[in-house]
Amino acid sequence: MERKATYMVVEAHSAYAVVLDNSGRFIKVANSGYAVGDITDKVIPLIYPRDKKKRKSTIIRLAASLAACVALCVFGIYEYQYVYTEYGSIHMQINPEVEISLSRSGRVLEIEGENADGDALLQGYNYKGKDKETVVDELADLAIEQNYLTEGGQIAVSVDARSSEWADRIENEILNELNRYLQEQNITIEIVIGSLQPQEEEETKEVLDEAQTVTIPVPQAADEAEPTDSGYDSNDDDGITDYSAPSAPSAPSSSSPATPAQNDSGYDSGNSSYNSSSNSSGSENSHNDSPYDSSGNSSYSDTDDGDNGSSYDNDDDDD
Amino acid sequence: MNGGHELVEQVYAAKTDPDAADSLIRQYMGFLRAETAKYLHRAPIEGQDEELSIVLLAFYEAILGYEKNRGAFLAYASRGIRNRLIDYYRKEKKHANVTSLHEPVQEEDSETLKIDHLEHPENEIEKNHHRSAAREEIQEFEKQLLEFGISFSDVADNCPRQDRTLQACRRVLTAARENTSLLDDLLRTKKLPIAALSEISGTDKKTIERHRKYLVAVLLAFTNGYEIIRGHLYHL
Repeated sequence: MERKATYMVVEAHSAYAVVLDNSGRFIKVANSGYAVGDITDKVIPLIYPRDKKKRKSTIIRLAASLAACVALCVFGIYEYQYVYTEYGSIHMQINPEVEISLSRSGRVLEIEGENADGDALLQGYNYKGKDKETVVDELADLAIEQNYLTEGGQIAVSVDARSSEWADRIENEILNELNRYLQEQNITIEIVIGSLQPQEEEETKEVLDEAQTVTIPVPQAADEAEPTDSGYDSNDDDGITDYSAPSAPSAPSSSSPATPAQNDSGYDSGNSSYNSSSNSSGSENSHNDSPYDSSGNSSYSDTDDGDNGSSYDNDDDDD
Repeated sequence: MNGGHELVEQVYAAKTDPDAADSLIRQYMGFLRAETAKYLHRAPIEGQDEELSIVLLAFYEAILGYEKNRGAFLAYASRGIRNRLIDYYRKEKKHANVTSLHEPVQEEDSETLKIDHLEHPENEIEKNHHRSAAREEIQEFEKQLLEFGISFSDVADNCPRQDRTLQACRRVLTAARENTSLLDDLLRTKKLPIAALSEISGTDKKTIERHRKYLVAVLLAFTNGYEIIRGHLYHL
């Protein structure tokens, strides 16, 4: 059993006493009426001013350490997010399409092929620990090696991110980097921001654009044309210019029922169901409405010679 | 104004001289009693009220810690006294549930007190005899220390307060006790053989130099008789 600590008084002053404890320490304590040689088990030790300062500095040091730890944690979390969490992605289209996931710092976190060519391009490619510039340069190299990209080709780059400013900045950086790199490689590649339109779509779009172009024929051309060849009624002098079909479907216009009497459609008259007498019997206007109708009738009449069962033919005959 | 300047000089002298400190404390005993009375709400009784001894100790701490740029000394000392007493009362609160030995053992029997049932391990005559023997030994020890120009106050001020440093000093003491020639050298030359002690104990010279007075006191305690003091130091 451990003995209780005791203090032997070795010096006594009015304000304090010097005591010797069992472990050999000499301590100044409050003099509670002690005399030299007394042994006591309870003392109130003096606190030296430098010890007070030390205690204060220890508290300050602890507080500073704690603040440093908190700051380190906050900074660490921010830094982790800055370097290791996904902030945006680059969509790179050559023909192979790839998506490059980026952290805010620009570190490449993941690459995925978005089509079969993209997967083939990334086969065996190691992107870990690389920055975005290196990765896009290397992907361009790979595309050239694998013949996806040739002289005069195009690379489309677009960036999606939480911040549009960041996305714009990254787009510009990638654009500049690719331009610089490909220039160094002495190859002319067009780098565009956005996405590449598939060729078929582009062609379709061109066709649509052309079809939307409306050509308005000059009125004199109608007057100069022979009445029998034109879709216009020469006798119609009501002052209204009737619109005829565009020049492309020229065959129907040449076999227009507007001139059945001339019989210059090229069809065999004997085989045709058109009858000049029947046409002149007053149903002329109904046939002149559409050139398509007349051609259709003729095709039907070719197969069903003299057969009035067809609704296209029989209208006239019944009348 | 001149009085204030004189007081500051007295305070600065008392920082290093224990007699000057005693003199200053005797001079301001009225102030110290008044400060104690603020908390006791009565005049303090010397040797009975622990608050007075705490106020005296706080005043001495104020002497040690005072600097000229800290304002008037008495105001500074008053703040120190207040803080010390607050600490004391806070500590005493923890022992509020302790029962008094002067309480009766049973409520019905108010004449028999708890203290009457305690056994006295030492009788008072034996205790007084032991105290006077210890006092003689301490006085002899003090005399021998004065030959080295050291007082107990100096030793207390020079005593290591950190456990690590105290352990280093103990290593020096153990080494010196095993090499009695070093203790003889100490008595003969009145100088601490720092280099030799450092070498045999493996303690840094600076540590030995920094606690020279303390080491001299402890080594002296183990050279001559001093049976009572050595018996008290059972941890060493």
